[in-house]
Amino acid sequence: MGRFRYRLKHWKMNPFHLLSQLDLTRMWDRIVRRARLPVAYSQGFNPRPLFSFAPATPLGVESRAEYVDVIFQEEFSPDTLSQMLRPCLPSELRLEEVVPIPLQAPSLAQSVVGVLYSFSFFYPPWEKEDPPFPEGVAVEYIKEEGDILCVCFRFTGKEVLLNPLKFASFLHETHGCCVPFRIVKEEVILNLGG
Amino acid sequence: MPNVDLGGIINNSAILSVHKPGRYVGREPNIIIKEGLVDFTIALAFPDVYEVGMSHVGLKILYHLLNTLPGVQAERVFVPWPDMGKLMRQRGIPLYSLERKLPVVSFDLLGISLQHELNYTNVLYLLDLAGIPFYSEERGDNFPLIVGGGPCAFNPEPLAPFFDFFFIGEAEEGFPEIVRVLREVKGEPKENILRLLSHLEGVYVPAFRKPVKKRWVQNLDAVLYPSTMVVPYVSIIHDRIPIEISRGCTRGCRFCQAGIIYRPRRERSPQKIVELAQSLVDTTGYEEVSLVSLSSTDYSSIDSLLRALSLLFGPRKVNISLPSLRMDAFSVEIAKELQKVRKSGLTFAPEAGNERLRAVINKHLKDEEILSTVEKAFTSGWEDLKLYFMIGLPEERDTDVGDIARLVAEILRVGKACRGKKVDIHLSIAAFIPKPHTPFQWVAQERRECLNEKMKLLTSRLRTLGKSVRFHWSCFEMSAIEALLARGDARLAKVIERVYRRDGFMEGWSEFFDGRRWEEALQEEGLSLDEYVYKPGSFEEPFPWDWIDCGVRKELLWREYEKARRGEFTPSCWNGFECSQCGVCS
Repeated sequence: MGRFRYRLKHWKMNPFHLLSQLDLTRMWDRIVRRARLPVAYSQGFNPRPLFSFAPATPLGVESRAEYVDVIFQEEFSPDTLSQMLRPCLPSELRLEEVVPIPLQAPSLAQSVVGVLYSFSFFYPPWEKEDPPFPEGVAVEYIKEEGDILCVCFRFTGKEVLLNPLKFASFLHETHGCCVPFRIVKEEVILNLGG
Repeated sequence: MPNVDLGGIINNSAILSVHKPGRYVGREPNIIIKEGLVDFTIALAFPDVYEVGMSHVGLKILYHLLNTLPGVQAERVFVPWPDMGKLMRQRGIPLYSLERKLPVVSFDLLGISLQHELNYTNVLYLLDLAGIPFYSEERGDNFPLIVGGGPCAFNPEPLAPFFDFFFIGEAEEGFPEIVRVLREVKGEPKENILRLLSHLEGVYVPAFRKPVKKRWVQNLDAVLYPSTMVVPYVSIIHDRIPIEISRGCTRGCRFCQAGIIYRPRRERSPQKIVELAQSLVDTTGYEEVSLVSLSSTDYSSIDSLLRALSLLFGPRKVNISLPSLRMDAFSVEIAKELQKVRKSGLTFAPEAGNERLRAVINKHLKDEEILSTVEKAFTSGWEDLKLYFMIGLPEERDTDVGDIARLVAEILRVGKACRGKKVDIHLSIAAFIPKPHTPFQWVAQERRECLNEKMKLLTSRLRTLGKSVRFHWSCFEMSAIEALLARGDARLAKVIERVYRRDGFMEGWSEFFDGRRWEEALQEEGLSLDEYVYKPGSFEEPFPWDWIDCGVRKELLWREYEKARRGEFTPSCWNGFECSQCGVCS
């Protein structure tokens, strides 16, 4: 029996931002069974499907960059896998990408070196200069869309797993910034070199 | 009516302060939203939270059954956890259906599933959040008609003033016909509609009170069982595919209401079950199929059915489970067969601590059978067992309660001999509740103080058995209210309303239950638990549920009650063999 590892990237947009990481784990297990894909299982008394996920997006945060690695018992072309999986997902959870990766490649958790989160504000969160942020957080870009100001932060280094919700309350409590009405995980930066 | 604007809640960070917000989203795989003409809408409401309601097999059947009707759209409604309920009120969001996010008040028919007495105040919570007046007489033609069904509808009286009508029995038989009638007469004055409904078999209209006979399905294979099901994203209580393999039970346990009201016992054919299992696994992707019935190992071809399902689903890592195992060696063999994919715990229900009391409740299990069953379980590899017992049973003496501890000590001894110190026994102890339509409907419930005394005695004995035996017991105050509502009459409607007005909802959840609210409400209505719960009945005395005919004759129930007092056994009947002439088949 062969083992073939694929990295899937999908969205988790409103209203599915209210699902937890555990909900997504269950969802993927059921999706591959519905698609009749031969996922590989762990050994032992309680065999589990071989999925591994990137660090969880906090509940309430939308995402355009959810990653899951899955190991199948058969080899598929990424296009075939996409065609089989896409109909199982609503548009807000849409499958963006399927990439085959080496079985021995570092796990998603080990590969993450940065995350981009965009925060949407109704009012400018601070005046003129950027306030001092915790180490590992920097402004990537700022976009204005009508009355809405969208600030994209890059979380890197040790703080890569910093919870954006906690960061939002840090901004609010420490610098008096208004609370963002929407947070989206825009991208996860992976170090594919391991 | 426009859809409920959930944007204000779902997009708002306030939703993050709510526990498990995923349950308010909907959009799950396999929901039904009809594209074509829909001219009759039904809100199928469950008066408890999403994860409880979504676990209920009856709701799944009804959802698919009614959505097969042309022009009819049925949608699901659950009550929110109190934190979300409060948020909805603050933001002016009415209770809505999960499919199209339509306000409940806009539906033509609101069906409320009545599964548990402690959910009665949640019926009012549901109506309140929906903006619907509580009492049938207060609702004019512009409100949905409200129907109740389920096991609690076999004594609908405490809720009667709130409902327009009740359906008594099994929905597959008769309910689609009612919906067809309602669709035809839509727009007519409510009184005319109710008068028309009151002539239909299985329908009880409180405004036109008359005896009602339950509807039941003759052939399970001939009626719809869903071949696909909604797959929740959030975890629910029974997160698996339930396939009902049989309905009804003829073991005749004298405390069991389900054993009476779901008679006669009928089986779904193995071919149909395999066909359903295949389709359900393919369309839901679930990792477990549960073969549901009141006594699964009584299914005539359980062995070959399990073999067929294991062959089919073993390679796909789909687990098969049986929720209700009898306490015999055969059941352990079956359970062993089921452990091939995933290992799970083993649960048995001896109910009483000795043979004398088990004879009273018609659960004829000898101690030695129990011990040989657990020995087989322990030698087969299980290390933890869950056991269900009841206290406060009719004819129970203190020595019987002590015998629970004696029996558990014996089971522990057997376990330790087989598995060493690893053995873990978990007891769940509940109070007996005298339910309508059972042979014990004439029995008074034991008073809370006595139950507490018995539990004290049992606790002191069980504690001597060490850490391998863990136990918990139900809240006896809640059990008394459950008995009150199960046995109540229409005067209790005001009590239910008073309790709700004191914020008494989610009463089935111990963290929200408050017995004082019930005591005060009863007192204010000049009623008491003594009258409903603590007073034994006589054969001649009428019950509030007497004119609901569940098919089993009252004389048979009384005969069984007398046999219980003499400790006599009534054998199980199946296919007319050892028929007890209960009356249901005729």
